[in-house]
Amino acid sequence: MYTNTRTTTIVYTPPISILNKNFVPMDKLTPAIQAMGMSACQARCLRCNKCSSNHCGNRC
Amino acid sequence: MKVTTSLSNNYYYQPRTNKIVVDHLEEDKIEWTFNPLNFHNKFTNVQMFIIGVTEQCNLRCKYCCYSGSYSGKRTHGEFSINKLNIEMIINFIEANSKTESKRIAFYGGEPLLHFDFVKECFIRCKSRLGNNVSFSISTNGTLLTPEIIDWLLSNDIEIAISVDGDKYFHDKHRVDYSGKGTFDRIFKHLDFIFNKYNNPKVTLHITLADVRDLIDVARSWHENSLLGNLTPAVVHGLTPNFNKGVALIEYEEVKSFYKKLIDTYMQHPDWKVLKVFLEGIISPLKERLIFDVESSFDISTCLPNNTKLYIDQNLDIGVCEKFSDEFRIGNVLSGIDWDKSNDMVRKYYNIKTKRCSDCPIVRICEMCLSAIEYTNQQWDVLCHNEKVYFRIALYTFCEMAERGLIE
Repeated sequence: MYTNTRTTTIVYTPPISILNKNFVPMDKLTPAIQAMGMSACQARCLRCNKCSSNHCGNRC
Repeated sequence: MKVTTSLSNNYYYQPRTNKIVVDHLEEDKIEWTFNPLNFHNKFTNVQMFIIGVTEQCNLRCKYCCYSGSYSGKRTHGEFSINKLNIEMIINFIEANSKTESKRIAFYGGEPLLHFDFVKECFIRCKSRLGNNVSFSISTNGTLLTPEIIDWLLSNDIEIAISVDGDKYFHDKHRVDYSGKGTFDRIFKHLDFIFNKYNNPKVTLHITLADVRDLIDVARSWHENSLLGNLTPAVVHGLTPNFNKGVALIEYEEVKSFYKKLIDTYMQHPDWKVLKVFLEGIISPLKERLIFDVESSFDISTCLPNNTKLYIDQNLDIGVCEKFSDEFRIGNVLSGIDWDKSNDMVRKYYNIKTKRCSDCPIVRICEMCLSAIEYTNQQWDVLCHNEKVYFRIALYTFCEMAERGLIE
């Protein structure tokens, strides 16, 4: 990710915050940890809550 | 695990924290500890029941998992579920779903070959299960008619249609008995749906038989007068088929292809197929849970935390529709065979505890219980490829983030 500064120098900033944006708020951490026992597709399914949009492809 | 982007920046994935960092700190040798397995005798999360209405299909798609070329999978057969069994199916759903809302998905074969069953099953489910049940149907789209479409959509039944691209790409694999392409037959139905309905509950599913076609599929989809306005729900790949051989993939070679995909996406951000594909690649990383693993944790398996169950044409119960047909865990009439269900999980647990205790990607791994059908040698191939695909996903995520392509 690049940022234009006043001197028009282009400074590179590694997009670490984007790469590590936690989708799980602290108060939901316990269920999230429990969800580690689920298969990946099912954990994703439960987090999604968009059943009717059939978006994840896990919905046959 | 390290990746290097086009700008020569290095990123490292840290398994224990699940973080991506730029300053690499040598981690201790990973040694995961897994919680012991408990015997399960109930499901708590099942909300979706996939009903395999029939084994019959009017198409013979070249990559179909029921073509006979996959071991452990049934072939195109004659069995269908009889309407007389509907009440029994609903009893099973009532007994095994503890969630308030439920979803029933009609699947096949081609379920529209037995539209009468679908209709009756829908009516009786609505009557017995109430308003907290939603429905979907997966179809190849060839047997749709204006009347069927109107009935499905007016009853709020989501229609999932397989479309592999424009006529050229769709007809390459999705053919009927005589080998004739089926694009023209579904296109007129899509045209009808999207001209008549505003934002209908219809999803389009692309199966990409050869990922090397992706850019051309994306371009031709974009250029099609109808498809170009529609976003596919998902772009699937094919299930590994060891009968045909599964090659070990090589990181640098695949990486250069993905760089080309990202370059193309930069130039054509409105190519919907490419966008959906890339989102699918990075989603396991984008949506990963970031917290430190400080103690032991459960091996990830489908059971007993499953969100869905599959009911096949013999009324036997599968963990999911993608699972080998040789593994069933009960029957609609007799219920779940908990011993069988636990045996399957135990077998998987034993393999995983041996294989995964020092694996760097155990927290993101997409392998699932269905892998119990594979031999040790096949596991070696799948584990290797899973690690390479994870690294590709990591590279794609970092490269896209650097280019400002992550929403």
